Amino acid sequence: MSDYLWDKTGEREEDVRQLEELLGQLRFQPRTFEVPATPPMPARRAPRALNALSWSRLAIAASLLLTLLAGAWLIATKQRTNEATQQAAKAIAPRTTETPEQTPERASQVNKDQLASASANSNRTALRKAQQQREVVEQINASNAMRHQRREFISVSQKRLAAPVRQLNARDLNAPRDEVAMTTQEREAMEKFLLAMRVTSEKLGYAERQVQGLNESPPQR
Amino acid sequence: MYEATPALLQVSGQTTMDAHDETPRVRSTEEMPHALSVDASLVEAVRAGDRDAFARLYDSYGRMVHGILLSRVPYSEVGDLVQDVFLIALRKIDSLRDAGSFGPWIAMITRNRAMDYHRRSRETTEIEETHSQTQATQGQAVEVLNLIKLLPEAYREPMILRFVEGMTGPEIAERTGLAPASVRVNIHRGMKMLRKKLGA
Repeated sequence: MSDYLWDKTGEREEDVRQLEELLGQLRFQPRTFEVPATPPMPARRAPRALNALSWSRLAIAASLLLTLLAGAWLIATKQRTNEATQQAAKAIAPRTTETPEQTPERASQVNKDQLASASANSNRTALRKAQQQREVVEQINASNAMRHQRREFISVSQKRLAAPVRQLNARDLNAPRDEVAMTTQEREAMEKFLLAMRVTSEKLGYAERQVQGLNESPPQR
Repeated sequence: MYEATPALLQVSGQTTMDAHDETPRVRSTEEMPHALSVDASLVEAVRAGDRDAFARLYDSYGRMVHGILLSRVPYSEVGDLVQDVFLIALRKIDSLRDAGSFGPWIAMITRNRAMDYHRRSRETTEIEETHSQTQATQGQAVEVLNLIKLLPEAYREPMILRFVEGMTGPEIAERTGLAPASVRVNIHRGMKMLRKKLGA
């Protein structure tokens, strides 16, 4: 087959010539292309990614993100408060049966026994140990008193914070700005409370460690 | 054909050359990369605001756009639609990523515009009128054109670009972005089928 059909080289067949002449009548008749006076060409585009995300979409996305972050922060704060309260309750629980009024009796009993034993043996070492034990018992008494104070403090604080926390939990995320200002005050109060709890917890932990050390190595008689 | 064709179009001037007088020049394969780079530079010039550069693109691709439309819409509608296609191209030229592929890009715009034309004029009777008008003027040519339009879709476009617009096979492949082998096969098979139809 001739290549004329492909690239117009070689011999042209008669029917091809006829077709070309006939259909050539319909060929493109160029007109004057009127470029509009106000060019439809847009000015240089912003980067493609920025165009794809219009400003309104960006604003919606930003507000959604802020709402989510605020929600997450509220949940985290609430959980932290609950954990702190639970830890405080655990720390108090093992000693709840023992009151500060009962411990002096027990301490005096221990002291009497130890002193009697010391005088009977006339042993200076035993006397020293008895002295040490008395000091420990005094510490226990002090820690018990402190724990009692702490329990009272917690109950008072919980009462004071109950209403704000309830408000915090029931707060509408789409609330107007003045309610958001209230929340900041609540947060400050809660942070103060948590700090106080932490300090008390540290003191209590120290006293408990002292007592545990004493129980693990009982005095020799 | 950029350098061979005189300024067919000017921004506000007259058409100075009759398209029938134009003898299609055979474009060798060595010239193609150069043509693409010329296209790319023209596209960049248009983007920079050079309207004459766009007139040159219109000059280069007018026949291809015309041929593609002719294979899809009635003859009398083609002239206006060619203008539409180039206006769309001018408006969207910033969205063309590869400046060197202006041809395939505008070919796609043309096909989409033809589809859009059919969507809009589905319920009108305008086609009947245009048939009678064109038959009065071009008669036999339009009849043969209608026979080509009965061929499978893949053959229609290269056949019309080849016989109506007078483009060579390599030129069709380069401008439309189609594979040269496909264009060659489609032209030969289309011609075979057209001969059968004309003989029947």
